[in-house]
Amino acid sequence: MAISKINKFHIFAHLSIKEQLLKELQKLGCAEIMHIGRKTAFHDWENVNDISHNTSTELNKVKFCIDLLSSYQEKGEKGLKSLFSSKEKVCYEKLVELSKNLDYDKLYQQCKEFEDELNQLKLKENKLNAVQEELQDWQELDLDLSTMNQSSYIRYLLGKIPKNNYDHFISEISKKISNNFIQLLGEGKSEAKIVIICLKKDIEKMTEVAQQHQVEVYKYNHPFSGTPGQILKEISKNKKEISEKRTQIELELKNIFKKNKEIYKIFDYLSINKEKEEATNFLKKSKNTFVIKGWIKKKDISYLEKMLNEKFKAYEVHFTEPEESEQVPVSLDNHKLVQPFEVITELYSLPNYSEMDPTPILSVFYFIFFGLCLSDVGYGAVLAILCYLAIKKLALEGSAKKFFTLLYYCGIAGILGGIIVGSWFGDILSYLPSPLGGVRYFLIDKLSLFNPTDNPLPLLILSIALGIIQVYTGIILKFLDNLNKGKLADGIMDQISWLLFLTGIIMVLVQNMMAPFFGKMAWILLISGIIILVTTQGRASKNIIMRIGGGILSLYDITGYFSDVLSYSRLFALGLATGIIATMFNMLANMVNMPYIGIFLTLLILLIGHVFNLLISGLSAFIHDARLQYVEFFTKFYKAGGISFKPFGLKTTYTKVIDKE
Amino acid sequence: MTDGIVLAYLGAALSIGLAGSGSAIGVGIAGTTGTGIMTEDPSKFGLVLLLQALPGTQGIYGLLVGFLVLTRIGIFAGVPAQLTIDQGWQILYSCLPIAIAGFFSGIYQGKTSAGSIGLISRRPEETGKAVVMPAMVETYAVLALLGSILLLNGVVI
Repeated sequence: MAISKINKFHIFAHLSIKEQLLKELQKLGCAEIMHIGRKTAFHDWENVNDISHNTSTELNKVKFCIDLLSSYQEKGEKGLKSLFSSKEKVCYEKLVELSKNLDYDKLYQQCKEFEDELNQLKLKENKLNAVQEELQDWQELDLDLSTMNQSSYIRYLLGKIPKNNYDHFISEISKKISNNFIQLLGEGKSEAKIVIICLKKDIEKMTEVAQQHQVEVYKYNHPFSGTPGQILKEISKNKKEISEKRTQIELELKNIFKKNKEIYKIFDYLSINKEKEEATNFLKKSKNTFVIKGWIKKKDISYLEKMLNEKFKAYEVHFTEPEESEQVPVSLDNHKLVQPFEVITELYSLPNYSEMDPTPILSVFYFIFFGLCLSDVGYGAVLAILCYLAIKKLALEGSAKKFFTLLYYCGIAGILGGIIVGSWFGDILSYLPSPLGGVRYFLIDKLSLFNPTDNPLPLLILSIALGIIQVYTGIILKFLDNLNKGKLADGIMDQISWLLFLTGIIMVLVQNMMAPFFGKMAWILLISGIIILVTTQGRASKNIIMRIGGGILSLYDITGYFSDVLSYSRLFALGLATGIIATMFNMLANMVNMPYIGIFLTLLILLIGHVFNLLISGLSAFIHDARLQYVEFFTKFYKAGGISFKPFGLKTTYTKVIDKE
Repeated sequence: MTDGIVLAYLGAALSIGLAGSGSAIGVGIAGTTGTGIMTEDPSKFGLVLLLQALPGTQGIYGLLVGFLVLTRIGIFAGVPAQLTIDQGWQILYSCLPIAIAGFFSGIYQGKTSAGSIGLISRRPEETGKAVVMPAMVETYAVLALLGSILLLNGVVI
């Protein structure tokens, strides 16, 4: 069966072994613990609310330390190396011990202090930068800015004036204010910088005139004293101090990081604990006992029983089949070869527990379609080899492994597809020197079945035919599903009718190539299909006219089937595109005609071109193939909406927990 | 050189130029949204790049048809075919499906991609669906490509 059979379990035990039991369950990692609902047995038992320590906060603290410290780790530890190194293996007991030894609270305080200090420095630096920027413009000024407005007799005014207004401004000032001194400090593109000195009593008048001439007055209000030049010097000195201090802190943080590499393990340990605490919330207790309710795969029941038997003496465990009304979590369980294709199903949505898993059938179609879309031996081989290496070298696990295995299969499909259309990195074989012509002859002329560039029709027909097969499969699956549920009548009216109708149409279309008897058969099928459809499709409505109307309208759905089938022509188009783009790059590379460096340039064009084409064609193949499954295939029969089975286990981020070291 | 070949050149130029422009606009639209999303979460770069690349295929299809035309009329072989005006028109018309559909579908696919980028920024678990949505638009570019290839194949030179 493609969907794992799942059973419900209840475990009862004495409160004293609660922690121990949860820990063992978590280590076993094959049971999902669920909430005990209101309307079930034990709903009147008490909740277990005895969480004393605050794991979430601790976890956040450790996360904070990791984020801060890891950004200061030595170069070389970051990047590729860490990406490609597998997780460190640790046993559970070691984690417990570590968490006791490492005072992460202290570490947090330390980190927090350093971070605060860094922020302070940043703030200070920003302020300094702002002042620096302001004063850049006034470097020529040889006046102490802090004393600007403290004199008892005179006032300064610094400002920028549009050049056009300058002359008028000067004359206006000399007209209105008798004692004044205006100096031009410098000129920009459209503005002039000026400093105006006047008597204290005239300042208001002066400001007014300045405003009329659009003078942008600069007000200095920063704590530094001295001329702009002096201040700028002081600022750069301060900035230097700040950066020195920062380097010091960074060095310190690096040291802390070196000493506290175990912090990653602490993080994992705390996440494990957090999950355990969350599971605790799902339990209910009476005075002396507690109960755990959950889901477990039927095949894992023996592991659970064995574990309980070995580790505990007093307990009681019950297994029951899920009730029909319950939303049972779903876990797909397929043959090893089919398993990677679950990725495609999961991307759409998991099936309901009571429905069927489409993955086994989907996998066959997905494989064939991908092969036709990529359809190049070279690209398929590169994809397959890369994925194979990734799986072996990186020791991938879980969903990543599944995904790469899927791509590995896709690569193989690409190789097969390439063989039948005779595409090897496009037409690279035709550049082989003539002594190797035999190889080319064998690989292309002998092995390939199609030559889409010269005669596209056969491959196009194959694509459409595959489409018809998949659409038929979808309809038949729906029929079988109806049959399973004892709705034979629905199956005949909704699916068999369409099968008759569609088969009839196809046969009518090809009848010229067949015996006359075939044509007669075709019309019989076609008409019987139409009759069933017209008479039954409107059965939901009560009115007889509406019924017939609905039935006739339903014939319009034929356009849907028609466009579904035509949609498969993309298999041909995408496959052809891969080959032609590859050929294009080969030709470009061949055009390079330069002495000495020509060969390198050729290789470079080939490398870049083919990598690019592999990426684009691979992506298209993946997406369009998935789309065909989702839009054309799944809509015929598939009922999605299952929730995934998430066993309670040791979920870690940085390490891998093992039994023994 | 005959007059027909000029029309064939126009066809190749249109399919490469228009489909490429459509892709450029589409990739641009998706990219603008993508950069916006990345200001909040730079770690989404990989996914955003993937979605941004999706409207890029029209340009490739256009180039592909243009390339087919040029191969067909023997430009690469160095001996341009002697095309009549009729043949020239036929080639030009063959290029139109991918030129027109490539241009418009590129733009709209870009918009859908932008929407999908918005989707993954809020619900990263729905990546699969987000990637399929723009592919729905691309269907029509693929069909146009198919049309162009078949039409071009039908031209007798």
